[in-house]
Amino acid sequence: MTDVLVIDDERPTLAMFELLLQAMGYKPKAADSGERGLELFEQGDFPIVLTDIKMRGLGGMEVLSRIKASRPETEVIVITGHGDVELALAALNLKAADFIDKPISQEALASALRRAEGRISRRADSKPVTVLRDADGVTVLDIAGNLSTDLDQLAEDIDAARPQAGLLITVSECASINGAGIEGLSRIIKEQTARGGASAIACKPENFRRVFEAAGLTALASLHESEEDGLKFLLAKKA
Amino acid sequence: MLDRFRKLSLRNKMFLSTVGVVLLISGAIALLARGILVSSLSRELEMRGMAIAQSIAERGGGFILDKDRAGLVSLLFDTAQLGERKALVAYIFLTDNENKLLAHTFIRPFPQELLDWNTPADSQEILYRPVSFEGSDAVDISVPVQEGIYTLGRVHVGLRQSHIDNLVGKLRLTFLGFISLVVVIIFLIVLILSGYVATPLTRLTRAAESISRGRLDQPLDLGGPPWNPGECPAYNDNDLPCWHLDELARGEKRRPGNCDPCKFYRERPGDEVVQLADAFANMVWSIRLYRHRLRESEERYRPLFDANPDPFLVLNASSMRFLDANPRAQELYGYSKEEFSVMTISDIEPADSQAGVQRFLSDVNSEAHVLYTNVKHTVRGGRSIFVNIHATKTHYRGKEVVIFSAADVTGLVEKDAQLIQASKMKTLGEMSAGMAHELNQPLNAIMLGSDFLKLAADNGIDIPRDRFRQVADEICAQVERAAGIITHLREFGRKSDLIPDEVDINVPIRGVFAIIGKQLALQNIEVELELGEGLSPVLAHSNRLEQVFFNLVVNARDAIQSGPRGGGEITIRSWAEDGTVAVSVSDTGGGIAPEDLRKIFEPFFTTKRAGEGMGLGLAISYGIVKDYGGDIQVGSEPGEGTTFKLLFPPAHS
Repeated sequence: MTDVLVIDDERPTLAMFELLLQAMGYKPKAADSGERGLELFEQGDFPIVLTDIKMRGLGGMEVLSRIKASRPETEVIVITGHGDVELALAALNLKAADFIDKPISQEALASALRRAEGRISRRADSKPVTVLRDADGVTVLDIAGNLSTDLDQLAEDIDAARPQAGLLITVSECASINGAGIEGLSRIIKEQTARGGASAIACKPENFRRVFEAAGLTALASLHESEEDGLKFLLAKKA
Repeated sequence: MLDRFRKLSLRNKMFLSTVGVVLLISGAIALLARGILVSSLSRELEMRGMAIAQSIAERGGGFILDKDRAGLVSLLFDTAQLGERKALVAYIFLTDNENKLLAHTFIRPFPQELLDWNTPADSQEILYRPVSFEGSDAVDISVPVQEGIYTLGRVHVGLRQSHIDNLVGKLRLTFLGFISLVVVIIFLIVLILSGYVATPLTRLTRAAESISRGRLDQPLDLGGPPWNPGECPAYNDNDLPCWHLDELARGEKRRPGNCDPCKFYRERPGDEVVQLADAFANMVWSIRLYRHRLRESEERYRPLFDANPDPFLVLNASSMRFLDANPRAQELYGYSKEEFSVMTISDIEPADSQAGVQRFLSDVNSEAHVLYTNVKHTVRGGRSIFVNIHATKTHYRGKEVVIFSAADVTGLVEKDAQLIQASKMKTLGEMSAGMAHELNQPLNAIMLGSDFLKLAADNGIDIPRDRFRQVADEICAQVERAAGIITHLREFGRKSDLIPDEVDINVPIRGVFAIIGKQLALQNIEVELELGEGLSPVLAHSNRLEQVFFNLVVNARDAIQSGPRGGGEITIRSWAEDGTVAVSVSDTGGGIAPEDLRKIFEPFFTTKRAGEGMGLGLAISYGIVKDYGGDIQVGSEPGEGTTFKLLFPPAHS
């Protein structure tokens, strides 16, 4: 039973949240304001925090940055309004792990929590965030975990690999990505394009796909739901 | 009698009164003359009688002493028969001191009654007395006959009364004849004079009567030489004022100069009657001239009325009936002039109109000229139109009337409504972010709640009854909340009727915060509402007012957000002030630069960056408030914030 701190200033929502999270097998703690949330956060040990972005008084962004400042390893999932990608990006840049749109569906909530748990366990296993491999002549970049640092080294590695048949970037379920990560990815894709190669992104989580679209990555690389689709696309393109 | 005299014509009055006066004076003279003439004539005759008596007394003394009776008789007869005395003297007789008859002139027996004279024999006096003998009257004059100191007797001379009367009668006749002649002559003179005075007056009367019947253009014959005032330059040119004619033209620049002699006014030498006739003729010509000018002026303005592109109507202020309608009015309302003449204002204007001709008439405080905008009128067939009314109280053909123009602004009103609607749609767009947020909240709670139920069902989790109840209640409440937001939104977006309603000003204010209150709170903006209770309703459209307040609040929000602090306060107050309903929207934002303050209500004026604002919000808000007869004032100090104050007239004044 993972402890989850839920911060939302809408009391009816908060009540429903608690019930749902309990039913989903989590141990939720509810806070009806940003101030109250930080207070509870300092008192308890919450690996995962869910916070609404728009709140009266202390807003979600402030809560996020303070939590990250206090315990950077905490997985903070922010709740944004539907289609509010800019806000989501801003939150990702503040090292939020993930974001979910209102109205929150149980699947989105479950998958966000699952990814967060995945990142926590991956961090515990000390697995690398990115892996480069080759599949049928296509260079594949797997991203799992938080991709937020600058990607200069990665870009050099890819340059050295000279992806002939194309570059496929896979974003795993438990991955997390922020503005810097997206910028780095877009640079890598642009370099690939400059070399005359095609690029594709395979990404399952729907919210990240939206972020990629919003960031303009889909204009440079084709976006696919699964690794197979992406591979097929690149191979077909080469042929 | 006096009454009958009053009814007589002037000529007869003059005549009768002159004749009356002449007769009165003649009578008085006659009476006076008779008194003087008749008495002096009688006196003269008596003196003659006395003279005869004295001459006899003088001469007869000797005869008496001599007792010469024959001498005496002859003396008496000689004296009595001398000349004209025959007719005058009736008798002469002499008596002695014993009153014994000495001699007489009677050829008949002496009438004894003449001797009944009770006079002392020695009386020295001359005595007169009227006597009557043998059927004739006489005046007896008795004179004593004296010799030395002795009285010898008395001489009696009888003057014939009939002779005296005859003489007096002749005198009277002559006198009366003379007076009559004088009367006749005066009568004739009066006749001529009164004719001379009355004839021009009669002519003037007839002319005046003819003029009063409107026959001004008939030739006016008041005598005198022919005269043509049409030669006067001012008479022929109505734009040319004449200082002779037109006192009103004083101070006018264009003057015809001084015509010498004036071609219009004639001045003939003559008496008062001639001058009266001339003055009358001048007056008639003046009236004719002014009528001419008036007609020309009417002819000049009539086309303005008839050809005016605005519909014009003339309404009797007391009966409310139409007196006149120009062709445009007939076209607009669909009624002919004849149909208008049996209609009243209430046939085209609803009686309960807040503004319009009826309001203008019933409002005693209204000014002489007013403008009402967007008045609803009904045309033939019952269709409603909107008109701007300019109404003036004036006099027309002797009646107190209202002349009003009714400019059809239906198209404008509709365009206006469309513009407001369009801007409302834009406002709705601006609201959409807030609305999405507002709608997301209940949806989120509903989703979480129903997901919980689904999860429990899928996984076979038992939910305690109270928890189940809690979830169901919450879902219901949240659906209602969402539905409320949507209803409000739909109400806001709805196209307003063209006719305003009575609106409690606090309702649209609260409506604004139902939509964006939460957003403001999220943006660290505090909202303070100080809404007065029991305010009079205003005539407006609730959703347009909401649009106005939304614009003001959004501007206030933007002003606060563009400030350095990022947070602030918006205060909205509503209260009653001097018979109006007042609302103020204040913010603690950066304020408006003084040079911008004048321009903020201009369309397309904005201080926001391109793409952030069209600059139509305040212009349209201003238009809406003005449409409701209200006003927006703005007070701002850079750095101190801005206050917009709105004033609305109450629906019931």
